[in-house]
Amino acid sequence: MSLSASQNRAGLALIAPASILAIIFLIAPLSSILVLAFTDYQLGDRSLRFIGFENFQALIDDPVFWKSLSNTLIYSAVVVPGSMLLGLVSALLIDAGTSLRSFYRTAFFMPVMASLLAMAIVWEFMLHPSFGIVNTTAKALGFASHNWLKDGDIALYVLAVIGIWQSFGFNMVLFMAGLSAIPRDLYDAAELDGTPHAWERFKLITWPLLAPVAVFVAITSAIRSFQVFDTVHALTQGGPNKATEVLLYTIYAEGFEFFRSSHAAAITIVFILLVVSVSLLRFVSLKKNGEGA
Amino acid sequence: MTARSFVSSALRHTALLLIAAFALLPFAVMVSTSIKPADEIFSETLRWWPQKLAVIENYTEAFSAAPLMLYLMNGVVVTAAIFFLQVLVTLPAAYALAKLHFFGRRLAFGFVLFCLLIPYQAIAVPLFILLYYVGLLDSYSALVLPFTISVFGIFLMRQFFMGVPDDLVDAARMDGMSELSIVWRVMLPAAIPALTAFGVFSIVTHWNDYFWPLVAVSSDKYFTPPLGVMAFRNAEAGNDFGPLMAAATIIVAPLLCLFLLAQRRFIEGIAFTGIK
Amino acid sequence: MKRIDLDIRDGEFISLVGPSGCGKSTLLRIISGLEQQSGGSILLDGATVDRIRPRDRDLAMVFQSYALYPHLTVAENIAVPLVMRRLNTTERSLLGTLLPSAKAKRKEIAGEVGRVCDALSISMLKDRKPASLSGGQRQRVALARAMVRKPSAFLMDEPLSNLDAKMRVQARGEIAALHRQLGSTFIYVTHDQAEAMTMSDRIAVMMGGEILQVDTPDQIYQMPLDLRVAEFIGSPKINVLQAALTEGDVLSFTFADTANNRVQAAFRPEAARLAGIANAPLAGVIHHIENLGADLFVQVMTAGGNLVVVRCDPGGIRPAIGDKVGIVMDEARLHVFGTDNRRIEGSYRLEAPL
Repeated sequence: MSLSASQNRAGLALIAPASILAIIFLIAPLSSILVLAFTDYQLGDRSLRFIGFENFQALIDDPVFWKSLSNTLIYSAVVVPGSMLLGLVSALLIDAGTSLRSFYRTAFFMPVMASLLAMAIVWEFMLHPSFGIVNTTAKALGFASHNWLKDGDIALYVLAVIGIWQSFGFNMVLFMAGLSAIPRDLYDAAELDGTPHAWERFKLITWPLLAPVAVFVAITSAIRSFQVFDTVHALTQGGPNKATEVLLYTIYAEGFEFFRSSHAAAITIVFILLVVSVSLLRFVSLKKNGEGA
Repeated sequence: MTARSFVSSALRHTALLLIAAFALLPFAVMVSTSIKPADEIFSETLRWWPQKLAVIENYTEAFSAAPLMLYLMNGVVVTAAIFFLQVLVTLPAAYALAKLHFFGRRLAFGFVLFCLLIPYQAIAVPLFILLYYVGLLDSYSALVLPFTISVFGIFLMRQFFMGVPDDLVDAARMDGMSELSIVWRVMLPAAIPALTAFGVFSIVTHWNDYFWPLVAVSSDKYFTPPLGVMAFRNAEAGNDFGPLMAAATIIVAPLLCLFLLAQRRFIEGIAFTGIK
Repeated sequence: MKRIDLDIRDGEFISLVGPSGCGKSTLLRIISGLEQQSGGSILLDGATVDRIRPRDRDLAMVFQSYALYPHLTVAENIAVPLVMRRLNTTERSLLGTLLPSAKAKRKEIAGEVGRVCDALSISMLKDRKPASLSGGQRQRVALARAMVRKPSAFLMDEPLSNLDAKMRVQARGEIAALHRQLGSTFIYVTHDQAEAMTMSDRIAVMMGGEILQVDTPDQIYQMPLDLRVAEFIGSPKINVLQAALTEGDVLSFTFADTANNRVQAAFRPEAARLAGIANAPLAGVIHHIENLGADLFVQVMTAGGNLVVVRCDPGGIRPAIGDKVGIVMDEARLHVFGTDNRRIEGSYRLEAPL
């Protein structure tokens, strides 16, 4: 047996278990999503019929779908900048001094670690209209109290705040990793070159060198925020009056509560397109950076 | 310390403490409520430490109202099984992709890169249908099997293996190891840092996962911790807050304790897996 | 790689030397079986091994990076080749450690590892991990791991290139002594011509995937068959000048551009001396003087714009930078190469200047 043939055999043998599992649990489901979306299949059906773009036509005519899509985008539009900014500020502040670094880092990272579902229930209690800590504090300070999760005008934003709370620590860690890669010499050089203000140095050095990390953090945050589900399912069930209906929740309801599998598949395709198109932005930005370097 | 640096240090700590208060507030509320008797929970005055401790009452109530220990055990079994199987499947594949020349390697790696883009929720519907037809819904298998293949794990380990010197692999071949024993005897020990990071990622993800268990199982003997808290809340109609917060504390505690014990490992692990 | 025809004798120390990218490491890896040749055959002891896996070729290899297993101790590292060969899969497993057969074999292996460690005086390092060793110690451990198998031949891929200059000289002597003591075949790859010259019985000089010459160090140095060999071996580098070969084997450095009998004349710095300008075949201005203590290398810029290096005795009269000097070569030690770089055999005279 020649060497290349033996390596070929070893390679194929080693990758075989992964390939078989990937075919069963990734390729087959992914391709059946594409098929299902063009059929009238419902869970339990013995046969299915191809109906072309009818499912997508139904989506276009369905106000709930549009509400769900726009809610998802609004949620992301709040969570992504919010958690990035808070993450970046945390990272810069921690990095600016030497004391209590690991205390702050640990504290900010705790929400990332804790089960979001359990913490959502804690948030629900904190937001309780009559004796939740948020309203009692608001009252004590002379502000009006709200029924935070039952008010259609603000419920989505309340969920977004929970989203920011949960994810900014993750972004902070990524930013800190980025900061640690910036050579200290650059700051010394900048100080000697006459940029005494921290803000000037941030504009001159930190931000440009952190930009690739920031792009990466933005894209990761966006993808994670598209997947918001736990808080919605636990706290609002998409309500009140669809005010917090988001894509993944709609897929869940269609696919696993009403068992309208083909309809869920069509929404899933929209969801996949959304996630993949944002992921591809990363390659675009990588290319741009590559050309600049 | 000069006046100026004192002021800037004070400002830094003030800002950071404010953020820390935001981050830790829910934890404080959770723990504080879990040790309060009902009348103090419903009182209008804000008090962190109760006048009358109700630790024993609340926690006993939590444990007796729902099989919390079972949920925790389920969490341990499911996350451990997932990670163990992931390692078993991932390492040989990652080694082959990193170090062996075989037919279809580029295609296989391209496929890995493509699958990295797809969140698993996107294929939940057909996975559910698949498990429905083979009769595996509502079982440990339903919780574990779909995650035995981790393209992220393959990608991460492959990237790490690329950095292992070829000489080491060649030396192992000269020393008489088969390709499979190279995976377990040479690559695995060399990959401990990457494997730890992947382990942290995998365990945190699957311990906290809510979407898939919600879909895949319905009998409460298979409930994982997040499903358990949810079931607890629904059963208690959400009014018995003391025991509810005790239950939440019990569910959140194991992972947080692990994290506090090895927080460097965890943060580095997550940062390592984050920047891929 | 092309036209490789190399016959290695049993028990000899042969070096494959050449600049990086010349194919010497690839050749070694093909011999070891880690890489597959596209054509031709490898024979060990007269039998072809083309289809035999590396582990079964009875060869041991020492890698440039030493390739020690970072998670194993020194003793465990050295034991690996024996464990892999003598223990079967069950005996190697965790449970297998309880088997009496495995225990006996492991004891025997430990004994052999101990003897090798003693021979290389690394016994005190046995329980350390590679990360805590110095470069020189790692190199010895890698050597020990190769030796413990008692292979029919050792393959070494630049084993000294990760050591500092001082350690390297010491290790050269040690490896050469080891070769004399073991009496097995050593195939040694290096880009450092000094290593090849000081350690080998024979040297194969490779360039561009070809073996240019295989010979003893003396022959390679004194009788290079190819200009590229002459230039690669020896430090400072051999002087090469364009010349014209006229009738009666007379070399001339002053020739017309149109001359069609062009050759390349080469001579080593010690084959020339400084002289007065009168009657010297070459003349120039002293450009720089390198004083190495034992030798004095004088760089002379000739009228033709070539830099020629001449070795002088530091005890003699010291020339000064800027002096106009003549250069006289020893005609017997003059090498002449054609425009195809091949050696042109003959005895030459130098044309007397006008």
